[in-house]
Amino acid sequence: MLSESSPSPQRALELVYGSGSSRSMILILGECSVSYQGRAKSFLDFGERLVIVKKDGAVLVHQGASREPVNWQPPGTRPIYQAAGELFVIRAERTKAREYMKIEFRRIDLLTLKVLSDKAQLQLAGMEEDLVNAIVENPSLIEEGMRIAEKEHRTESGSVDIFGRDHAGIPVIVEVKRGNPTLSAVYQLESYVADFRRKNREVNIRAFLVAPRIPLMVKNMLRERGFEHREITLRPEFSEDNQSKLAEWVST
Amino acid sequence: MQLKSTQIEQLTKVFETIVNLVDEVTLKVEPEGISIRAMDPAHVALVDFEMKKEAFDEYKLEEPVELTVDLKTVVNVLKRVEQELVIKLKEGENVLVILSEGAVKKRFNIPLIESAEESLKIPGIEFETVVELDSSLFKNAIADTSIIGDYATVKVEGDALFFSSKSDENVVEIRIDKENCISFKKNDAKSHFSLEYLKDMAKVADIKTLNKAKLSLGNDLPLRLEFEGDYTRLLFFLAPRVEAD
Repeated sequence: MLSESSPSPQRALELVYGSGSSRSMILILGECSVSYQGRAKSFLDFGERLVIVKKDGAVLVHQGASREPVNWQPPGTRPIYQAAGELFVIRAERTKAREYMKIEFRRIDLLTLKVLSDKAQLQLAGMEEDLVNAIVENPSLIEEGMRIAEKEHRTESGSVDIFGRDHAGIPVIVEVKRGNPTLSAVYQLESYVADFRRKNREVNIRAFLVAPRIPLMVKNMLRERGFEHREITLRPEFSEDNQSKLAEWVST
Repeated sequence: MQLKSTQIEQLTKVFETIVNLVDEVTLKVEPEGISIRAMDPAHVALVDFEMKKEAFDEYKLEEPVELTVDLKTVVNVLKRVEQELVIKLKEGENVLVILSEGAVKKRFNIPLIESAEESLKIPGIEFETVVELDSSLFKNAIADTSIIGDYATVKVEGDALFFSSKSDENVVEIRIDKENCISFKKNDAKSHFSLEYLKDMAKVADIKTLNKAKLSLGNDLPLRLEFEGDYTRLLFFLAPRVEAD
């Protein structure tokens, strides 16, 4: 792990482009401004914030309060760093979605880089896939008479987990979350619905959010927009408890 | 560092087996040879691979190195290497260079990854039951059991090695008598193992040079599975499942 206090823009550039850094998580604490241009346009003037750049290109800008980032870019961007005079600049561009975010630091208090080892993630991701597959194999989990047409249905805003039609032939999109879905899941569903309506000129479309447990606030938001939800928990085929770990036999 | 070999198929197939368990590995290149030790994300299986320098046509090493790579990429590259394989490091950079020296010269540059791995220890178990047999017999027994159930019961009882599995009403039992084994150190023992893992490990039997499988077994102990060839050793440990009999 590398951590340096008050690096100059040039020094910060050296650090972020140093060896092995492409796999690191980068944390920058300092005073920055954020310009965003995409479906909307926004400018956030200088203030002290924490910027997180993850190894998959996701960028988050966090203020001192509130859970959600004040601005962010999803994974898939390739952030570019520059030292422009007194400023340290991060550009995160998504050419496909024509979204562009620029963060300018006029002072960095702390810059930290670390490669995170997190094997636990891999197993959980498998479970989300399982829930999707379970629905594909058993569409009645959503509703009787539903037919699944496609997994990973591409739209402009991203990939919908499941696309199908209900008993009346009305198109259905289903977004599956393995954990507790947040408001952003509702916005995600909203973009998919908008994309679909724009492309197919069909107004009638049903949208479902599926998760083991959905917070009340999210349920309300879904209802407000005319979206639906299902709370589904899968019991794993063979109980994970039966499988022991090798660590039991390794002396430390 | 410069390693050369014409035994590309063996190395590729071994790496293909390892990549079923884990995506990223640290390849140690030392004076005696190369090695990989890795554990799958669920911490249920461990693989330990060694290939001595004598297995290579050329083995030049200034100082020991540890190379952490995306094994999937390396496997894809190795599959495209023809005739002679050359592995080296790019001067002054964290890049692994793999060359294919056939009629057509190919060069693949693969970036090295910063290692986040802690050092892994091999379970220190003394096994009383050890059976050595043709790896194809082992692979077939696994194939026979996996069409029936999710996990296999591996046991030694009397003078035979048994593989069995069940699901609902279906049951399968395979018996391999000690006469059909290469060596048989018997002591009754029984454990259960996930077939998902056993199937991946059994694929080693496809590697012609690793045709002997050595199973070490205990009662509700991990399985130790060793494949040995010329200057090459592939070792697996698989944690057992706890099943109601």
